[in-house]
Amino acid sequence: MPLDATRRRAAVLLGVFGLVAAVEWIAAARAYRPLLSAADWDAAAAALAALPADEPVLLADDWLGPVARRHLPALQRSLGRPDLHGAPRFHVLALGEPLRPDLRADLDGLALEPLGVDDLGPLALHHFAAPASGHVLWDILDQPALLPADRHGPCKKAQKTWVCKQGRVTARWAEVGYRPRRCLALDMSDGAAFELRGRVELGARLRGHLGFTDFNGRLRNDAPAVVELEVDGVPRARWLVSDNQGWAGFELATAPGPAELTVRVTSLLAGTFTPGGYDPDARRVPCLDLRALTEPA
Amino acid sequence: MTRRLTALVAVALGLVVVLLLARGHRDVGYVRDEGIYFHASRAYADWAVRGLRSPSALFDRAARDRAFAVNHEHPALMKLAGGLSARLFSAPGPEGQPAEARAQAGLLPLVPEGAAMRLPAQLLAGLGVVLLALAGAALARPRGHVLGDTSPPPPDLSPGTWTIHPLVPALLAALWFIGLPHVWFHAGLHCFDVPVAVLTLAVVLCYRRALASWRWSLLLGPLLGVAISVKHNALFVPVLLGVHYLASLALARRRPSRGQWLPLPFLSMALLAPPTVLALWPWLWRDPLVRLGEYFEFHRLHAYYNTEYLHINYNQPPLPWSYPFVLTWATVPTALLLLAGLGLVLAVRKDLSAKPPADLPANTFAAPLRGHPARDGLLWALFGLFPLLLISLPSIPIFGGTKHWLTAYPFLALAAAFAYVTLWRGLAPTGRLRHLPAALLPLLLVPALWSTAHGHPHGLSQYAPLAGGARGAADLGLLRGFWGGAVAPLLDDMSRRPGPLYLHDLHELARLQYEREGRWPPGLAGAPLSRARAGLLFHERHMLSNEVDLWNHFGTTAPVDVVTLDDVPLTSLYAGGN
Repeated sequence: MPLDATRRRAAVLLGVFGLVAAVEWIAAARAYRPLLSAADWDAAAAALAALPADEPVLLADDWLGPVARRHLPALQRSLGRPDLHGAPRFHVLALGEPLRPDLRADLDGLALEPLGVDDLGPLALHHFAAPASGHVLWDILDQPALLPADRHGPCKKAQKTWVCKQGRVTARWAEVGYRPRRCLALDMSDGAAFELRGRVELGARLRGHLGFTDFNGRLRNDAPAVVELEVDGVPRARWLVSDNQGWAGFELATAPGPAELTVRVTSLLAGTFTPGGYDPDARRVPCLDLRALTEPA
Repeated sequence: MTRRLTALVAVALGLVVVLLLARGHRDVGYVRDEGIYFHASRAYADWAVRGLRSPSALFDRAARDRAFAVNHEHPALMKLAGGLSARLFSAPGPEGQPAEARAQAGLLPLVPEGAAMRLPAQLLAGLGVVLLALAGAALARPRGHVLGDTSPPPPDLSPGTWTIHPLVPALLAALWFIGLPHVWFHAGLHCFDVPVAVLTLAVVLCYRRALASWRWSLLLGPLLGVAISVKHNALFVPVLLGVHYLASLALARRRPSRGQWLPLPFLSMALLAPPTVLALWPWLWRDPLVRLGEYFEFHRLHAYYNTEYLHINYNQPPLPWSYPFVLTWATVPTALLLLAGLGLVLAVRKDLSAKPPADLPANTFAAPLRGHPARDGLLWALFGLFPLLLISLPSIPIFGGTKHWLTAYPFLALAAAFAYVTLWRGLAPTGRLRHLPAALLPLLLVPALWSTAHGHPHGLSQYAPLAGGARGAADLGLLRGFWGGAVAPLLDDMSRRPGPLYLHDLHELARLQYEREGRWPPGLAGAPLSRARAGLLFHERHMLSNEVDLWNHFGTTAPVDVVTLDDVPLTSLYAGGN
């Protein structure tokens, strides 16, 4: 018996709803179960243990971080990397797509060569080469040769912190642009300049970043900071960085070899603006990373 | 018989919901707002009990203000009910704690104090299910509803007339609402969001009756007052009802009578709702205009808290207009949502073409629309879309996720039931196929129920199947659990860690509530991170700042324990040597 138009329309619509609901059953069966078992984490741990210790291992799915770091200590050492420059080979552990937007941003122009994928069950370990990335010769976070100072004189080192007359500087993790970064947090007074000076081995370029932490401070203060680099006493570069640039990268070409390097960061306003006025005690802190990199191999 | 059976099933379903909420939510941690509501509830109930013992105490201004100053930015009704419920049903807290730090035993000590305070909201959720089931069942009537016609429909025995069992739309409407993970989660809390959604539904159903009955009109005003006494969302109800009323008058295409210009239902709302609000909120008994002004000012200038939406943290306007629509799609199964959308279209189209009979007598002040078509579609569209449209305004804060537009869902549920009935009526299957509407109901409802059951007790972090559940939402960059509640599974582990503990987003008053009930690890005090030896972290995009503080403090980025929903971290416990 042929259906009239009303019945046909009703049948089609009910069919569509039924079909969507059936798809939802399948989607629910996929979504509503844990994907990762203890065995999967063990397999991932074994795969990571076989990797060279100096090659970064990154996690593609940021949200998985706390669980992943709990099972895979190897992930901790790469957490908060400034970017992927200086890492000719690296590895990405992923549930799905390995090169998420955050990782692509960290490539910052580097060309990649996929080297292969290890299937670890729900997870996969992707191997990449970045031949143009160069090697890290020197990193501001682990360079004891640089002497810190503000305009009142040298700062004193206490554990991971330099205590200066106009503030303090700490090598630590910081949230910048809603991502964790390991950097030098420069908690200085308004207008104060923090300076690091020393003899270092330079490569083909100096590459660094500056960002502001934390998100509340960024909301309530938009003043920029100034980064200056001097090589052998000659001013070579000066950047004005504001917090809407996020983790702002900068780079300076250098002549390889030993040189006297001066890094100066001036924070124009470190406090925050509140409904009650300017509060110098609620801080928005610039955080600096700087590394010397070689020419690509 | 069918009507009685439907009513019995509706009440039974409501009771089952209350029982499941009362038991199931014992596993749901206390969220931030509940901490302050528990505290306020005790203060309000103390005042009420003193008043019961000695009524003159009710008029002691200073004592009353002391009690109701706590959390006076929200009306008192649910907190007062919660406090009195605790006085009735709270089990005593553990021995050995000071009296002020342990729950007092109620008259019939059945459940922990927090669970007792949650009970009134859970009862209202059950009432909502009953109302939806009854309103849904009425959609099975073969003809459109006429206002004032309360007689059972005569059996239509003419050949070719197809009927659907009322239980089908009844169950669809009720479970569409309560079966959603976010509705279920909020329904069990000592909060106001599901209660105000239920009371909004109750007011609207009462209004429908009031359009043709003076008795319902007299109830309408106080009922609106009760709804406003639950939460400020209800302040919009009379405005939307006014729009519906004017639209109904316009669509009647006849000159309104004098009585229709100032109808009793609206007079009742105007005259009886304000004193009801005043009576139910003792904070307003002194300086009512000043305090009402403060109340409106608080909500008008509400802070913009942080919330993640598609990988962006929003904490200042302009806020994305698409937020409530995307979040609704991400938390309500798509088939149910499509059904509701179709229901709105069909019902509004029907309403726009419906006309009152030509021989309709002049309408009166007391029954201004008696005999007119009910125009339910317009009601569902107004109440189902307004909350979402309001939140979509770029200046309206969006921090609370879906809870701020839960008031829309009962009306979307009814629209979905209407669409289901209309489609099956159009298809009119016969023979064995006539059971298809009931048989295929689980096909539509199971994804929501599955989502809710699987997400429990972390329903706030659960997402719909097509959004990919919690993992999919994390991939999409949607908020995870902004309320500091997912801590109960960590209590055991926390008892093995040295204190003090950094509480992060767990409100100190929520912690005290666990302590009052003997659920908090003894001796584990809260402390700022600088003094803490263990720390909690509730994961949200903007909370990364607090997480890196924990890493720096404890010298490790690996938590010792993590609460997850389908691999997605909700809460981490950090500990270390510092």
